[in-house]
Amino acid sequence: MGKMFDFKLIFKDLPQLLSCLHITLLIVVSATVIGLILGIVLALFRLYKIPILSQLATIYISFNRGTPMIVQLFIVYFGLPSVLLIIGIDINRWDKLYFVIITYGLNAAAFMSEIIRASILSVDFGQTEAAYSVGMTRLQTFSRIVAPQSLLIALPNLGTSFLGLLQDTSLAFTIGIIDVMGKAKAIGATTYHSIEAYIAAAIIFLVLGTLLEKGFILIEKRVEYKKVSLKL
Amino acid sequence: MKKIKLSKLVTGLLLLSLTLSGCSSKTSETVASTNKVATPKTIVIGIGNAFKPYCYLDDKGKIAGYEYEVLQEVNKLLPQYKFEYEPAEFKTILVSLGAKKVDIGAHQFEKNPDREAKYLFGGESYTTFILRIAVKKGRTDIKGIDDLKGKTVQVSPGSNDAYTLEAYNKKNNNAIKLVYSSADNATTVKSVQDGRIDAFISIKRIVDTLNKTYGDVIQTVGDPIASSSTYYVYRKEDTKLKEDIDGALKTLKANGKLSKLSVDIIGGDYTTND
Amino acid sequence: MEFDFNFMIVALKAAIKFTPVSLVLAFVPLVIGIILGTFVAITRVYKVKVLCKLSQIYVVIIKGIPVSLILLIMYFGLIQGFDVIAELFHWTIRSKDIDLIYVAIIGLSIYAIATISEIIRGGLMSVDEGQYEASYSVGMSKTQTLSRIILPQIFPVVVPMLCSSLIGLFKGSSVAFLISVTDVMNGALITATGNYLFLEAYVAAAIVYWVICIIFERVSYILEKHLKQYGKGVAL
Repeated sequence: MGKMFDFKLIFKDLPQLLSCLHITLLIVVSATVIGLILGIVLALFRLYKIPILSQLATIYISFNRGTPMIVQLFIVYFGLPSVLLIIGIDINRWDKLYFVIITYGLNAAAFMSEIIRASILSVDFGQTEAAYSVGMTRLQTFSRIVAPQSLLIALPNLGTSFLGLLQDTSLAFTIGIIDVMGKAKAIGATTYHSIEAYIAAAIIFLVLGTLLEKGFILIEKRVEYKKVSLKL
Repeated sequence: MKKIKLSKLVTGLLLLSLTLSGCSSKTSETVASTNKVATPKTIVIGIGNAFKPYCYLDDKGKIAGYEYEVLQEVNKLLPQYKFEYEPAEFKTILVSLGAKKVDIGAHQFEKNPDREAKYLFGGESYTTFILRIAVKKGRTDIKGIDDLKGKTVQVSPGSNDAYTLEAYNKKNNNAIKLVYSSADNATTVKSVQDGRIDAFISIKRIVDTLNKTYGDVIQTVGDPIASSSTYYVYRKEDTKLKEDIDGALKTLKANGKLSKLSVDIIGGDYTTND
Repeated sequence: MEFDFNFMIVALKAAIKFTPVSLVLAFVPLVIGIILGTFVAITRVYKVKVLCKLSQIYVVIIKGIPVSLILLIMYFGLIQGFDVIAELFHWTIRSKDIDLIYVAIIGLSIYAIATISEIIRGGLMSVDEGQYEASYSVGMSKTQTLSRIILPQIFPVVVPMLCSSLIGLFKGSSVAFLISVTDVMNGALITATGNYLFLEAYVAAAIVYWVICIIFERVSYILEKHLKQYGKGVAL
């Protein structure tokens, strides 16, 4: 006779979940990188109000944030190969993982571009004025003065995005990719003890999240142009 | 189109293999296959990944279960096809089928006229799904579907239990209160224990497993409320594929292999129609 | 592949029917998240003795665990606890009588507090220290400084991110289906039970989500513009 909740199962599930950790990390890290690069590009389109590109960026961001991830996954997984086939590229044989990474990357780009846009807008104009007055170019001003200061605001949110992505990877299971969350679901389906599996996954994510926090604190210290240790 | 490209490829490789030494194993495989009459057509099967014991992933993440075993047997009888398996979630399989990412859907799908409008169902069924009412152990007031009137029953969307009860409600003035949920087994059992829901629908095999896992908590009551056959799902135009697989299933039923698989994996012979 | 537009309309109607559920599951956690999240953020930025550490632990843990797990723990734990308390106080209601949407709201709020507090914290850290110093030097108390000087300045920064949070909560409300709360997405999917036309259902849900999110974005944009008048202009 069994029990409804078996504490020992959490520890039994952990090694199984850890075996899929590399997939999760691959998806999340790749998606974050794609998201950051594409997100910065999109944010710049909108901030500098470049015609056409700015409007396209706005529509893209709106669509990606507004529609459910599973629909975006369907579009990329089912739709993209058909579209690319028209111009002669056959990606049907690609590993499903690539489709997942593309989907998550595109989605992350939309959310991150908003974070980046907001954080850049928060930097005081006086900074830019001062930079121009000592003869810096637009690029120098952006990269040396504005960007580091915007990081301070962007970082906590980027961290949240990253952790959010970790959990969102559960969607990949619907097309058969087995990552940590997917494995947790699979274990739940076979052993009928879902909660224990989810708790094991949570433990893994917590460890990752804590490591991330420590990493961010290090970065925050390096871009501290404003003394955050407020004398209050 | 595909055939022309294939023969070009094969001829080219034949020439290459004659002149090259140290061919890769892939090339020699293709050369070997040209000795057969035709290379097997790859058929991708969308199979479930979270429905034990029918289709699930084992500890190593490999596909296992009744669906898989049956299809492997079918493949043995149909050497002109090569089955490849794509595990995915229930609803995704159907979307994949329409999008031509998979050619067959295998997830204990059941047919009805609405569904047959869009999809092609197999002619031969391969399992009979016998749905029963499951309630908290020791409960005596519910004995059949009519006793569910006024009670709360949990169902999951897309499933046949939802469909059956919805049909019942249409004829009976929405007497049964349906609660849709994607709750996992533990949550469902807890809901029943708390009294939040009065019943859910399941099959005997799963109820037995639930009792083994959680302790003796659930019992099935009354006669089965529905007993439907499950079929493979194809696209409307794939009639040849359907015919071939139907033929194979007939053979498996005739020689008893299907029954044996059924007994071994799902605990009883569910291969004949009730 | 063919697409059944007529059925999509059916699914669309069902999806619209459940929109209020999703909206409630998005807005209530948002508001609770803003109020309590600001509180949590303040304790961390001001490094209030004990609360700072507690807040940090709370945020790190909740951000790390899957939302579905929070809901499941709520369901099992809260229900269990509630029944125990109900027995103790001889209340007539039992956990089974509580509409699960409240459990979902509490669970999502717990998550929202953690994520929104990070947004607020980022905003608080962006305000120049000079602002704090200046307001203290004219004799304002900490509370006055916060409410009159600092918080208004973080609004333009924080509003776009809160919009993202709201959108995330709105779409994420579908996780409540785990505890039987039907939202837009699942409302649409349920209609495909009989005919297996899930693609049309997904598309219908996507349309509803997108339209509502566009409304959110418009409102957020107007708010941003309106609040920018506090600032001196932007760096670009």
